[in-house]
This record gives sequence, structure tokens and C-alpha cells, in this order.
Amino acid sequence: MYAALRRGTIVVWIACSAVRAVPAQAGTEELLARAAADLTAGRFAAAEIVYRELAARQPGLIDAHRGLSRALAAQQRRSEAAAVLGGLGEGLLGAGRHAAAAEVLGEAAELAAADPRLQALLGKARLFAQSPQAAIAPLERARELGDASLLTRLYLAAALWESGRPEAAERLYRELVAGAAGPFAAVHQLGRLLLWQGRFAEAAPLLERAAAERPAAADVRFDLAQALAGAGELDGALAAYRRTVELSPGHYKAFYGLARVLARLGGQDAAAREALATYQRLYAAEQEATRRENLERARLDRGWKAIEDGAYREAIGLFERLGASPEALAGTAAAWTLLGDPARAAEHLERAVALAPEREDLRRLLAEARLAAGGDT
Amino acid sequence: MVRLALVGLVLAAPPAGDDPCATPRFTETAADAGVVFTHDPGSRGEYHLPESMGAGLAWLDYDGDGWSDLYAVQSGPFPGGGEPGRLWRNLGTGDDGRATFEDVTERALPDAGGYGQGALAADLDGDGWTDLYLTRFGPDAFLRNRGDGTFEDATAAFGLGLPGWSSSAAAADADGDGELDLYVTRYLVYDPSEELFCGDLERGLRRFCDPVLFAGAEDRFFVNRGGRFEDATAAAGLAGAAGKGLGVVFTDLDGDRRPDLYVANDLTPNFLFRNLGRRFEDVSLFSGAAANREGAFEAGMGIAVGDVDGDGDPDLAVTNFDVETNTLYLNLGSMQFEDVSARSGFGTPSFNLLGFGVALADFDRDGGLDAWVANGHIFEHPPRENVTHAQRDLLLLGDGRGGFRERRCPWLEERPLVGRGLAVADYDRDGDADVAIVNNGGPLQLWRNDAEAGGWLAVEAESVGTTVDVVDAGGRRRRRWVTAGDSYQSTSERRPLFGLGASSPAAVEVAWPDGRRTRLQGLRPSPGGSGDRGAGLAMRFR
Repeated sequence: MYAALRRGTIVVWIACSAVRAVPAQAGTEELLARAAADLTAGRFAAAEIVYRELAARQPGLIDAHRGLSRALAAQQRRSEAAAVLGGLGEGLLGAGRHAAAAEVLGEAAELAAADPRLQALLGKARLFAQSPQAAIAPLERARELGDASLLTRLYLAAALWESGRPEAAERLYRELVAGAAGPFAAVHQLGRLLLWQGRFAEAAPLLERAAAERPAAADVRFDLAQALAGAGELDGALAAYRRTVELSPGHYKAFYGLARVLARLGGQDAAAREALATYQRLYAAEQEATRRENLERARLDRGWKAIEDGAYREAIGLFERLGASPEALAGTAAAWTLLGDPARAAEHLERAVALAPEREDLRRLLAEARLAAGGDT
Repeated sequence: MVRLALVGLVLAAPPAGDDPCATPRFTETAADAGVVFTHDPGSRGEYHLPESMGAGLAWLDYDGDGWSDLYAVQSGPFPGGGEPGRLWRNLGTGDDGRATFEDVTERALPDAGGYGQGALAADLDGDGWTDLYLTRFGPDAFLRNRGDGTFEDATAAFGLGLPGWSSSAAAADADGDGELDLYVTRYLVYDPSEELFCGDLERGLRRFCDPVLFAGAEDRFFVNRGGRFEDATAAAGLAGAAGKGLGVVFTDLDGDRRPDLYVANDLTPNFLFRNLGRRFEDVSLFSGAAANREGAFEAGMGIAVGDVDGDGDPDLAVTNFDVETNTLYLNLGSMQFEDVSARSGFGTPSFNLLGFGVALADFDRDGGLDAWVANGHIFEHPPRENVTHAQRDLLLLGDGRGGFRERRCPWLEERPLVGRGLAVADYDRDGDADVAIVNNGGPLQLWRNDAEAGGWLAVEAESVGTTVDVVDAGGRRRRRWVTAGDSYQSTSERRPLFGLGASSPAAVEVAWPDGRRTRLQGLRPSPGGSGDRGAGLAMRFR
């Protein structure tokens, strides 16, 4: 069951965010193989039935959706095929799997090139997958096909900015903010773009407008403070930084800005030092949390890499050295399963479930391990 | 030793035509000049972080013939390293005006290999000959110049040999006793045996781990006690400076004639230590140069120092990660700095680039400092689509008033590499700044500057801590600071070189580290002079 580790081939939604290995349901691989054989042999309707069943059972099983789409396309049902991939892509996007979403939506958009919604989704997925340059074409195509939505234009402007064309992004934002009733997001983003370019005096009124519209948004207030400080309007900047830290007491960058403005205003050394001390404390805490999280992830991934390489006993050693965290125990269980010892896998999963009883994924793994070991689920 | 020689003064040549890429115009000439070198990171598929850091280089006149020689650091194999880098002797220019080099590694350098990172060239033992301090993953090394064309491994004899992971080093007479002291930036506490996998398992992409996973190693400050170095980190008030340092410069930032320290740290606050005489005061956060305008601590890599806005004090340029942009801190006086990266045009061109080595020099000889940044990503597959591993370098032309504009030319972009250490020197002594770059896992590049326009003036004032002012007829003053160690793990030539544009210099003023001052007036170009091409005026003081 842990053959599901070949991520990108067989993935259950929860696998991305929680445990690195989550078993597909029994028989999944056999069914996939059978459907693929049907597809290759030209038995498209038969393949469609199997893939549809698999996709219904496991909405996150990418290969099932892809296979279904191919089976449909082979039967000249291209719009249905595109819809299958479109749905999958949207789901992947919602789950934060941007690169996989971009890949699937790219296939969908090829099947239905005149569908503005698919083009827009593809552009969004590419933008979120840090491919802003590649996002521009589908977003522009969506607009040509009649997509006049604000979101598509905002994504396009963001893609232009991130791909190194800030002038084009600015033009688009300016189109959107023209008039007093320009949408908040466009006003804010244009303000941020000008701020990024060091055009503080131009950015400030836009960010004033955005802050007036979202008075409780700390990040907007912080951007405004930055613009005012850059433009030399120190009293306004001071007020905006103070409001930012009221709205978000953990906003360490705002404490830094506050300290700098206090220092520039002069005569407020004690207040400036206090703000700097807060800044340092908050920043250090965030850094330490990030360090721990990343280090644990890297250590766990070393174990999963060993599993991918087939070095199951090495993986067990690596996971065991990490102590008794639910993730490490699940990794050890995966390795024991692959070594053909579901009983020991179940033993580790029991400990994992005891540590994290709220984890549905672990309970499912435990049930399957017990079943495989011939015990009671 | 205090030495001054005004070795070149050439007044304005006719400006180039309409081609914006004509001035400055560089030609990559490493092979033609006889400088053939490929850096080896020693990668064996385990993605050890030191393999991503590349190496530096140093310009030094090791044989005292007046021509800048070149030393390049070698790294791999990891972790023990191999050869002790390579040294090329500058043979000077031939009839065609082109300088060539001879590889003298075998006869000049001792067998003192290690996994190299950086090189500081400075006369650390005070005998008049430039030595090499080599930073490493593993014990650092001190190669003493014996003055006979060879170096000896004098690490132990001088009390050096710092273990762990060092990156950049800089030297200056910090305590005013006439001897060069040493600051060594240290990167991470890194254990190669730690079992980690960083990257994207789903896509099968392994990457170097983020430095945020590791604790920073503490920088070290060594005081020179007559040829033996003593660790004075704590005594000087520098204990606990563990900021994951990658770049360092030692220069007088507040005009009190004492060299201050500025350190570029990776994702932690950059350090700014004010020199109080025998101790340093940490003014990092209050100075405004510890973080960017937003208050974010960036991935500081390299540092260049220079007066980019012509107000007479040194400003600071720091290279960073992509998306962050490089940062330019203008010196406001009284140890206050302002991040002007966006409005100056210095930062935004680097949005999709990852900068390491950096130099401020007047490449086009128009009187304003320009910048060259060596770029190259850490990751073979950077997460952002329009960011690549090998990258083009960045050439920014300065207007002398703090503004920069990128100059994009085909010759600069035709062969992107993974740039790391960068250092400048007028190695062919034709009055313009040339550039050498060590690329991680790639060839060393030697960019010869063939500037045609603008006059120039070179002042040989090699004492670290010297400032040189050139004053034009209108009273406008341009200043250079003589430093040892800057950029990223590198050392540039110390001879201050001024582009004059169309102006005529009325005087040169030199303030020596020991407090003496020299003023030269009535400067006129004359034929000959220290082997320089064209007209020049040669004056030498000892």
C-alpha cells in the first residue's frame, strides 16, 4: 500500500500536507494498470468506466483523472475531457499544489483552447507556481476570449510585475483604479508597485485610499507608513506605524519602521530603543520557529528520500533518530510496511495515533496496517 | 609602509559615438591573458551547503613590480579541498598594450590546500610584502609572502588557523598601533554528517538546505601583536557576533579616521560596529544599515563601499537574494544610513538575480561610481520560473549623484555563469578598472575594460586606511578609501583610480592612516610614467 510514495503518480490529498505516505485504497494500482491497458488497446469506453470509478473513489488521484480525460478525448468528447482536468486542476489549486495544478490545467487548456475560464485558471496556477512569465499568455488569452473579471486582470498585472515588466503592470493597475470607485485590490497593488519603485509621494495617496477602505488591515497600514516615511512625512508615518502595531502586535517590521522614524524625528531615543528591542524579540522568535520547522522537515524528508530509494532499513534508522513525533513514527511505519511487516507498522502507527489522536490520516493508516497484519481494524 | 605614487594622469579622450555599449566596453580575456582556471565546488551529489558558496579571488602585487598579480581560490573536493588555489604573475603589457600572466602556483605557493572560500591580500606581518589570508571550510590558512617570489604556510606561527567555516576577511589598523588587524566573517555551524534532505521530493528535486536551518558561527577579530595575532573578539566588544556573515568591509564610515566594520549577514541583521579606538560599539539596528527599508533582514552576500552620491562619505552597497533586490545604503552622517535601493535605481534591476561579488568603480570614467555585480543562484533549479541558476552579471552606471541605471549589453549577457567572488584592478594600467570573477563550478573570467572616453587619474597609496581626494578646478571633491577585503570573499586592487570625465584635477589630497596629510597641486599630464600607456605624471613618496 505504500507504493503510493511515488508522488505525482498516486497522491491522496492529505498526503501533501500531513504524512508523506498515504496508501491508495487496495487495488488502486491494479485498476490503474488495467485501465491503462484498455486505453492502449483502444478500449476507450472500458477504460473510461474504470477511471471514472477510481476518480470517484479518490478525488485526488491525478492519474485517474488524467486517464479519464484521455479516454474521453479518444472518444471525441474533448469538452468533457477538458472539464475533468479543469475540475482536478481547480482542486489542486485549492489545495495549494500549484505546480501540479499548472500542469493539469495546461493539458485542459489544450483540449479547450477557447475556454476563457480554463485559460484564466491556468494563468493563475502558473502565477502561484512562481512562473509569472508563463502566466502572462493564458491570462491575456482569457481576456481576449471575453474574460473581463477583475481577478484575471489583477493576476495579469501581478504576472507582469513579477516577470520584470513593472511599467506594463502599472498601466493595467491604472486602468483598474481610474475613477473614484476603483477596486481596493487594484488601488493597494498600484500603491505597492509605486512603493517598490521608490515613488513614495505617488504611492502615499493610493495607500491612504486603500487604508481608508480597509482600516483594520495591518499590512495596508504598514505599506502606507512605508510610503509616508519614504516621502519624508514623518508624523504621518509615525501614526501609521503605530496603528499597524495596534492592529497587529506581532508585526515586527512595523516596529523597525517605528524605531527608524522616531530616531529621525529626534529626541525620542528611549521610545526608539524600545521599538527596536520589540522588533528584535519578535523577529528572533519568528526565525527560531522557522528554523525548527524547516529543520524537522529536512530531517523527515531525508527519511522519505531513503524510502524512495528503496533503502527501507536506512529510513527506519533515520526516522528513529528523530524521536517519537507522529511524522517520524508514520515514516517508520511506512518503511516496515514496505519491508513486509505490517504488524510492526501498526505498532508504530498506534504510537503515532496516541500522540495525535485528532489526525484522521494516521487513523486510516493504522486501520489499513491492522487489516494487512490480519488483525482487527 | 606609507607610499604614494601618482602614477597616471590622463585628461579627457574623445567620447565614444552613439553606441551605448561602447563605453564602458569590456572584453572577456582570461584565456588570452593566460589566466586559465575552473573553480571546483567538489560536488558529489550530497548537496553540502559549502558547495553552493563558490570562492573568491584577490588582486595583489606579490612581487612588488608595480603590476597587480592575481590569486584565485580553489575549493573542492568537499570537505578537505585540494590545491591551495592558483597564483598568476602579471608580466605587464606587451607592444599591443595587452597584459599577460604566468601561472606561478607551483613555484610560489606552499602545499597548503583546503576547501577554499575567500582570499584577503594584505601585508599582515608588516614587512612590506603582501600576504594572503585564506578563509576556508576547515582551518583557515595564512600564507606569508617571503619577499622572494614565494609564500610560506605561516598559519601556526602567526596564531591563525581558525577552524570551522569562514567566508570573507578584511584588514585594517583598528587599534591605531600601526599594524593591520584582522576580522574574519564566519558563516554557519555546519556538520556535513547531519542527515538532511532539502528540496522538493514530489518533483524529485534536491536542493541545498536553507541557511535558516543552521546556527550562525561567531565572527572573529584578531589584533596584530607585532606579527602574531591574538583573538580579541571579546575584548573588542565583538563577542556573540554570529550573524551568518558573508561579506565584510573595514573602513571609516563616520569620518573619525578610525576604521569601522560593516558585515553583510545572511538573513540576520547586518552588523555595523563603530570603532571607538580599542573597542567597537554595535550600532547596527540604529544605523538603518542592518535591514532594508521595510525592516527585513536580507540575504546579505557581498559589500562594496564608495561615495556614490559625491557627498564625501562612504555609502554601502550590499548584494542579496533574488526578489529581495540589492540594497544601497546612503550614508547620512553620524552613523545613519538610508536604504535608497528603489529610488536610486540600484535595487530594482536585481529583482530576478541573486548577487554575490560587487564592486563600485568608475568603469566609464565619467566621474561617478558605477557598480558591477556577479550573479548566480544557489539552486540548480530555482523555484521561480524566470530565475535561473547561471545568471547574467549586472552593470549599473552611476550618475555620481546617487542614481544608477542598468547598462545591458550583449557582451555581458552572452554567457551567463554562476558568479561568486569579484574583484577589480587596473591590471593593464591603462587607466580603467578591469574585473575578475570566480564562478562557482565555472571558469574564471577576466574582463578587460577598454574605456576610451574620459580622463583618469591613478594614485598609488597602498596603505590600508588611507583616503585620497581629487579636487577639481571648481572645488568638487571625489574621495576614495583604501581598504583590504571587500566584495564577496575577495580583495580588489588598492590603488585608487579616479575617472575624471571632462574635468581637470586641481589637487590631490592624501590623508594617511598615521594622521599625516599630503597635498599635490599643479597636476599636469606628462609623457611616460610608471609604465602607463599614454600621458601620465609619476610621483612617488616614501
